[in-house]
Amino acid sequence: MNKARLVNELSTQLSLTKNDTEERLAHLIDLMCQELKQQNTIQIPGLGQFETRERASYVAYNPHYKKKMRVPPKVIVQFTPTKAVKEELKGAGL
Amino acid sequence: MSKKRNGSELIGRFAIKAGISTSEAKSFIQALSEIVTEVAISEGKATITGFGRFTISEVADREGTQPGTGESIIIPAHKRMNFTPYKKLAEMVNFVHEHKEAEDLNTEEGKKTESAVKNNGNTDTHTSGERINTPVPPELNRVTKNEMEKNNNSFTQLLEEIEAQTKVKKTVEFKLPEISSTLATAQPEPDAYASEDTEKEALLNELEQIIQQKKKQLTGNSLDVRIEDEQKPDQKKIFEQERSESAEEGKGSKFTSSDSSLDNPTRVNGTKKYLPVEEGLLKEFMSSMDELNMAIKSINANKGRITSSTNNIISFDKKIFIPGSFIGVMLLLISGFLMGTNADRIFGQGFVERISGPSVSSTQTNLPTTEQNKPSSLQLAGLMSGNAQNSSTESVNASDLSNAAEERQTLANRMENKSTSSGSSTSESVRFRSEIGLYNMAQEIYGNPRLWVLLFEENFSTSQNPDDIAYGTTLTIPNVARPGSFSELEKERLRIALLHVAQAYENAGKRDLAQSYRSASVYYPNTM
Repeated sequence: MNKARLVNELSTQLSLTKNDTEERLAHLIDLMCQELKQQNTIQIPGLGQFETRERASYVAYNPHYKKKMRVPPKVIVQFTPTKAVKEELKGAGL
Repeated sequence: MSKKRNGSELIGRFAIKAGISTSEAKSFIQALSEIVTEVAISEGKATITGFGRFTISEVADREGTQPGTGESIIIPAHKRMNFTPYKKLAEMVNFVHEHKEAEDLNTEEGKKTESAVKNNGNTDTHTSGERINTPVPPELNRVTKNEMEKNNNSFTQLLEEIEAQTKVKKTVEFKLPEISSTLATAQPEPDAYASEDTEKEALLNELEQIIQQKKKQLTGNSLDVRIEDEQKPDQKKIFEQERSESAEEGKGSKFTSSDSSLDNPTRVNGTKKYLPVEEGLLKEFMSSMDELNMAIKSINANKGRITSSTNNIISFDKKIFIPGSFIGVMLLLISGFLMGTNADRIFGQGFVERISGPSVSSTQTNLPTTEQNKPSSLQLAGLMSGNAQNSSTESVNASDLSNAAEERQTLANRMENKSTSSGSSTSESVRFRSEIGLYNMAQEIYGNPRLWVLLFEENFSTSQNPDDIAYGTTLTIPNVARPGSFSELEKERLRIALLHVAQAYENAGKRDLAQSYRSASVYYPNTM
């Protein structure tokens, strides 16, 4: 799914112009990015929760080159889907 | 620190940002969620360009334990929805660690840091705000006198000189008027007047002799100590005699032999000695030593009481409490002084390290009054002189000073109680550990790694590259409130610190990093 398709589907569902939809989508994405950048947790109704988490530094081993590397700590985005989404996933079967 | 934006809050913000009504914003977000979930489940993948990608992965059956009952159960296979942020978003979120790169642990240095990582990996043991205990090298804790003599001959020398200096001052005052007419029977230093350097060296030796004689006097062996003003002609005679005697030895070897004779206790066993001292030189020497003496005194007094036990083992009493900043200042003072003089030659390499080791390791600190500084340094000097014949003197010194030491101990205890009751009123210091970095040190100190900028701002100028700080640097810990309850002043301080770091990165040639810290300074302090 690319952006064009997403905008298309959104505009038909919300009966908005494509330009309007694109603009709103851009605003939403920008807002979400800014919130995450400030290490805030955001909850999107019907989708899930995004939060930032610190992943500690660890030692990784590359079996091919037989090299040990220390991977630096990193702040990552963690996503937890809502219950509704989880139920849907269950319903989708295997 | 971080806030939680729940659904309605996010919708409200989105509505304001996009200039639409709340209901419109709500329906937009709901529609987006629906489409994303639908597409993700049906196609296994859904992308929001500019934000991230949702993927569905399958999780196989696995064994797990039932929480609560502890029963072993099988978690059935299911699907999981994963989110992968866009590269830009991931970088933005990770702005604090952005510049860090994976480190190769196959090199020697790497192996060391690897073990360090393993040791420090158990982060559970570190409660937030806990002091970092730098391990003390064993040789600093307990050093036998023999070792001391072997390794720290130069150090011993110095401390003796310091003691000598204080005593000689008096000697000069009182003894100079009654200059004896007797000829000098003591062997003058052969190279004493060869050059200025050697003159000074000779002076040091003489001072050392004086002090040893003084000690003998204390223990009961009555030895006359006289200082003669100018014995140049006589000395020159003897000097020339000596020279002819040992002409084949050469100047250099001569000098070392005189040096080694310093440590020979039998040398001062003569009954009477008249030591030639050039007054002008002595004054010059004393003025330079005065500075060092002051610095060393304060360090000795603060470093912890150094006590002598019966088996001549020197141990640092760690109960003494010193404010870290004070130590830091003193260390700076002495290191600065060392650089400025030829003291490196006298001390030998690694002296500064030896000095700084225990002082940093003493986790509890005390600030004794200046009156109490003196005995400690003298006691130390007495110990360091380390000759068997002086051991009785030491015990005398020790008993003389035990009262002062006790006083200091009680003061230390009082200070300790005070500081524990008043919490973080005194600033503390830690040693920088490069294996974990400022970031993780801030985590240990404040419970929030991002406050490392405060540590940096407090301790370094903008000319220091934040990613390249020397191991073991003593850091002063600025006191701030618990993260999340920052006052306006502290927020301002954090803002300044962020800008400081940004400037430091700018100076280190890391423009993009500087930019991200600069932008962080706008919003980040407000989240605290």
